This record gives sequence, C-alpha cells and structure tokens, in this order.
Amino acid sequence: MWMFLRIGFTSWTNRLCFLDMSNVPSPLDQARSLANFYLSLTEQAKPFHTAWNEVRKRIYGASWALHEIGSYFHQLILLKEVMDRFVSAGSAADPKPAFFDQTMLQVNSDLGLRTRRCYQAALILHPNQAETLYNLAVLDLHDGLREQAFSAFERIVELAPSRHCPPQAHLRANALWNMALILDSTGRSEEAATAFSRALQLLGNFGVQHRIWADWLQQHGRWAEAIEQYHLLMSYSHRYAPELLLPDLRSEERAARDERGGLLDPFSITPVKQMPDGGQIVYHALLYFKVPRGRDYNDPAILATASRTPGLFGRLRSVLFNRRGLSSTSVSCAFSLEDLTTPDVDATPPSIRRAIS
Amino acid sequence: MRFDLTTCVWGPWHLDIMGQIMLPTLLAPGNLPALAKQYDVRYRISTTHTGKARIQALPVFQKLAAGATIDMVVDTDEERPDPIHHVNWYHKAVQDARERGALCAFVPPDVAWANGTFEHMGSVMAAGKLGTAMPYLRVISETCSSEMAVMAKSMNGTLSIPPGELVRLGLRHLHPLTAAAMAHGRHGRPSLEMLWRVPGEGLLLRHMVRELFSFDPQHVTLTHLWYAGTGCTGNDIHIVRDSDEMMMLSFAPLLKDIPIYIPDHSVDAMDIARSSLHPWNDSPLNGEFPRHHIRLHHGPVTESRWRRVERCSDIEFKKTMVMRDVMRVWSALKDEGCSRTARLISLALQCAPLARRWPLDTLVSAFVPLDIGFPEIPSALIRDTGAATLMTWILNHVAAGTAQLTAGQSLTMLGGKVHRIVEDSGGTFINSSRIVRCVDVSPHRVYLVDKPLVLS
Repeated sequence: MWMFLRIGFTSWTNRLCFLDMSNVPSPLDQARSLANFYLSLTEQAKPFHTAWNEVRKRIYGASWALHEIGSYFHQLILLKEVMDRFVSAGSAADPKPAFFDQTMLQVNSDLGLRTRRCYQAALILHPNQAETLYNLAVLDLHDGLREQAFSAFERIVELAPSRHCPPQAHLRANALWNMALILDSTGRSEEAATAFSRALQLLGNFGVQHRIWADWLQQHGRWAEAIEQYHLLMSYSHRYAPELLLPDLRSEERAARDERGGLLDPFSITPVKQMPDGGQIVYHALLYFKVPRGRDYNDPAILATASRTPGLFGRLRSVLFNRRGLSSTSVSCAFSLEDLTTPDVDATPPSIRRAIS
Repeated sequence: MRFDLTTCVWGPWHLDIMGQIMLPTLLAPGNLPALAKQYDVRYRISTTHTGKARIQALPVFQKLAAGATIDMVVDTDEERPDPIHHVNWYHKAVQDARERGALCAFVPPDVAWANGTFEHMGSVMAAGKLGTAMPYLRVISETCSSEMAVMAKSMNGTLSIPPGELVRLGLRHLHPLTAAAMAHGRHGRPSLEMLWRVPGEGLLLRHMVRELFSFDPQHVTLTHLWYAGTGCTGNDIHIVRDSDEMMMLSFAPLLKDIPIYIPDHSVDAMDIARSSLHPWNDSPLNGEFPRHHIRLHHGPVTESRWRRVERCSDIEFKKTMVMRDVMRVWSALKDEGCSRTARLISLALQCAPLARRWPLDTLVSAFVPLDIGFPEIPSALIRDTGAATLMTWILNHVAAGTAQLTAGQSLTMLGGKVHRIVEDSGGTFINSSRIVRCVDVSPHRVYLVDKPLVLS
C-alpha cells in the first residue's frame, strides 16, 4: 500500500512541473496541468473509501471554485469594457479612473486568459458542468470563436443545469438564443428561426434583447408575428445574463480568498501568511504551500518539491507522511490554510489506520 | 424651525464608511455646522446595539453632538436586520418629523458630502421650497474609501471637500454602475438616468426622477422609494442643476449589482421610458425632472462645450418623454378594447421615428378605434419598412391640445387631415367615426371611436 502511495505521490510531484510556466504557453495547457494534478489525487485515494469520497468532494468543490474565480475575471472583463468606453469619451484633462490603477481590482492583467484557463480547468475536473460550459461559450463568442461557442451551446442544451444554478439563469433558453444569433450571423436563417423558436418556448421574453427577435421577424417579412413581439417589448422586462450570475455555492465549493476578501487566482503564486518561524505560506493550484524560511516561494520548482502533504488527504496526512519523519525543512502543502497553521495532531480515523497498516 | 436629519445604519461595512467618511464630511463647516445655525437640528440614528456602541466610540461623535441633538434609536435586537428595515425606518422617521413639525432630510451612511451641501439645502428650504433633490455619483468603495479615510484622518476628523473636488474624486473612483448609464455605453443596465461626458470638465446628467434629499413632511408625501408623491408640484421641488450647489458620492463595492448589467446594450430612451413606468418609479413628478440639465463639473464651466452636449441630451430626452407618454396611452388602450391600435403604436414607437419626430411638447387629443370597428390591421400599415404610412396614419388620429368636440368644428390633425365634428341623435362623430367614450391619460385626452378616422 505504501508503495502505491509513493508511486502516486511521485506521479503527482511530476505533474507539479506545470508550475514552470515557461513550458506551458496556452491557457488550455495550464488548465490541463492544474486539473490533472487534482485528478491524480483521485487515483491515489481510490484504495481508501473514506479518503476517496473526501477527495472526490474536493475535486467537485475545486471545479466550482475555479468556476467562481473564472466568473470573477469574466465580470471584470465586462466592467473593464464599460470603463474603457467611459474613458474614451473623456479627455486627458479628466481624472484617470482608479478602476484601472488599483492592483487589488486585478483589471490590468490578461483577463481573457485568466478567465479562460479557470473555466477550462473546471471543465476538465467536471466536464458536464453546464454553467461553466455556458460561460466559456460566451467568452468564446466574445473572442470571435463562433464555431467553438456554437458547439458548446449545443451541448448545454442537452445538459441539466446543476443544483447550484440560479433559476433566472435559464441556461438552455439562453444557449438556444445564442445559437440562433450565431446561425443568423452566418446566414443560416431557417436554422436560426428554429433555434429562436426553441429558445422562446423555454423563455418567453429576452428583455431588451428581445428586440433582436422582433427585428428579425420584420426583416424576414413575418409582419404579423413581428408586431406581436414589438407589443411585448413595450413593458420593461429584464433578461439576466447567466455569465453574470454566481451559482449558489456551499462554503467548501467557494474559491479561496485573501484577508481582504479578494479572490486568489490558483494560477498565480500568492503569499497569504508569514509564519512565526519565518516560513511563508503561499496559495497556488488550489492548494496552500508552506515554504521554509530562506527558500524562494516564488520559484515554482521549489513548490514542486513539496515532500509533505499535511491535510492533502485530510486526516490521512499524519499517517502517510509525518510518521515517516520526513524533513521539517521541506515544502508542505494542504487543501486549507488551517491544515498548515494549526498544530499537527494525529486525528486519523481508525478505519484508515487499519487500511494503511 | 426644527430640522430632523435621519440615518439608518448597521453592519461593519456601512458603519466603517459612516465613521471614516460620511460623518467627517457631514461635519464640514458648510454642512451640519451651517445647518445648525439656521435650524434647531436633531440627528436621529437608527442602528443596532453594536452599531450604537461603535458610533458613540467614534472620535467624531463629540463634534457631532456639539452640532446637533443626537437621538440614537435601537428598535431591534437583531444585529443584521432584514434590509427592508431601513425602508421602514426612514418612513417612520418621516412620520415622527411630521408629528413634531420638523423638516426632514435623509442622511445615508455610505456617502460623502460636498462642503456647502447642507447650507444650501437649508437656505432653499427656508426660502419656501417643499423639497430638494440632488444628484450623486456612485464610486468604487474599494478604492475611494481608503483614499478619503486618509484625507479625513489628516484633517483631524472633519473632511471639507469643495464640490468641484468631490466631482473630481467621483470621476476618479467612478463606479461602473454609473458608467453603464452613459449614452452610447458599451454595456448598460436598467436605468432612470443617462450621462454624457463633457471632456475635461465633467458629466452632464439627465434623469427621470430622483429621491428627495430634504422635504417638508407637513405638505409632501413620499412614494415607497422616497420620490415626491402627493402634495407638491414641480415648482415646489428644488431640483439641483449644478454640483456646486449640492453634491454627494455614494459608495458601492465594485461588484455591486453585477447581475443586472445588460451586456452589449447601451441605455437608450426606450429603456428609461419603460423603467420610469415601473410602479415603484412612476411618481407624479416624472414629467418634471427630465426637463433639467444637471451639470456635474470639476472645474470652470466652458458654456459652449456644455451647451453642445446638452443639445445632444435634449434629443434623447425628448424621445424619452414622448415614449413615456405614448407608453401610458398604449397601456390604457390595451385595457380599453383597442388592442390593434395598441399594437400599431408599439410598432411605430420602435420601428418608426415617431418619438424623434413627434411635433409637440404639449398635451394632445387622440382618437383611437376600438377593435370592434377595426377588425383587421391594414397590411399597408405594417409592411412599409420606412414606416411613413404608419406614422401618417397615427398622426391623422391625433390633434394638438384639448379638442373642442362641438358640432360644426373642424379639427386639423397632426398628419394634416382635417376632420369635422358632427352631432346627431346617434351621438358625436368625428368624420364618420362615432365617439364612444373618453379615457383620461392625464394630461392627454384619448377618445375611443367606433372605427378609424382614416384607413391608411
């Protein structure tokens, strides 16, 4: 058993090489590396039913945490575009909006890339996560990747939204609506009409954007139907953009945050706590790493040498590693900050102890 | 004369901003101290037990108590009351002010005041106005509050910010929620207002309605969202038109109301007209507020620059006002058995330049065929993509002013047709259409007729 775990552990440390960003140029590669690391944990925990369930929950939570972080960056894209247009209407004599110069708002980085890799990693961990797939499709559409977006919207129509999905998201209706827009923009009018009709069967009113359907009907000579839609548009109605709605997540599915409440990007290395012994705890890849004093925590290679995993399997940690007496000067990692900051106790459940012994 | 200022506050975020920013700016010489020279001021703060302790421990509390009688009210044992509590509290505070014959002003906890705001407000109320409505800009709390808190500390707890400087701070920390109400913005949101930039000088604001800042509760009643309700006319309310007079910044976290943004849609006249008719937003003065240009400037005003932007805004707000009135007529017609004309109106409003080219800014009399005498919409009215036929048809059913329905009179319609009023034993007729009844869509008159005045 120990051998198996050692092999699994070695496999995991190898996969931590994704931390060397110079070798991973695309967001998808970064997403794969991060997600595969998580999936490797699943393999390691299979022999232990309790640990297996624990890790499976962790993976599920990680996919939503990645969705939440991706959504945050996605929202920043929208806000940045609002502010960009505002700035372009002013002049150099106007004050420059603080929106752009505060690092805490994280708006100056490549938001598209940061959003995309979070969504992609979430989807590797949980491929049928309809909300994430929808958001990524919207991002694809935003970036001009229409075919890619269309395929994703087609899949969403077949998927059931998660229990987290807010009722006003109407994922299937919105996916069909977007499919109709893509079809129409590529001159496939008949198919667009079918997609519009299917969308409208699921959601009768698309808010101010419903105007698109009314105009479409009029342009295609369907006068009587068009007038009904213009009639409908006279009263105010709001269509929520699903990509701006955050799912109703449980605490273990929420993304990690810093002391000020800001979200932590798992693709960055973020210092979160200075330890009394001079060590530094950093957040990276949905994990917390404790790096001993004197070692460069910004160096991905250092994090990749993590040789202790207190908390990685939750209660398994002391059994697997601490008892083996590995060096206290090595890098440790854990799922939660508490696992690295609270005194280590052997709380291994008897069933797991039996399994290991 | 008594004056009640009233605040409702709880929770660390609101208490922090109140303590670090709102109260220091309220204590600026041109605010509470100046108002206290004009009035007997009572400052009522509704809060929780924790909130009360925190407010009383604030360094500025003693200064506050020196300027006004402080009345701390804790009427709940909950530390996080339901948000509706603050709405109920403000309405209760109005009732209390009414009973003791005091004027009333709302002092939100999460704002910053320009110096001079309260002095001007007090003078306006003393001159006999029944209420004031002031503009504000939303700012990002994550960036603005820290900058202003440092300013307040360096000024010994009293933060005096001239209006121009406050507008400058507002633009620097502008919240995307405000930017999303820009004319021709990239993405929009549901809105009752629209903004235009005046490069290098500030923002022009046009709005359909605004909450009252101060008012005389003996005369004015408020709507649920604190708009002027009954008991006053447009002339009774002082609508601030220049930020030098009264100005406020309102703090909000960056992601506040993120779900309500409307991607790829900029706020337009139709949106504002529709929103203004929501029951919570529809107040008796919604026809008065949009007439005013509101200048929010951070330096000297170059008149020609502002005039140019104001003319652009006039075009958009003329459309908004026409659309709002047409929607009110449309809404009445739906309920009166005129669904076909209602549909034609909706088409004309959205596909034809009806609102932009509407020739009047005054009340009209409209003659609308009931469905029973208008069994089918002529295809010529809806198939003309230029909509000229439809426009003419509608304008030939509308006359300027209050129509005199006296036999022998002729009415010239806005589309150019002249119709004659006839009376006989069957009733009153316009052309050969019998007038069935009148519907009041104040200030307009809508007459329901048994068939169209013209066919196309």
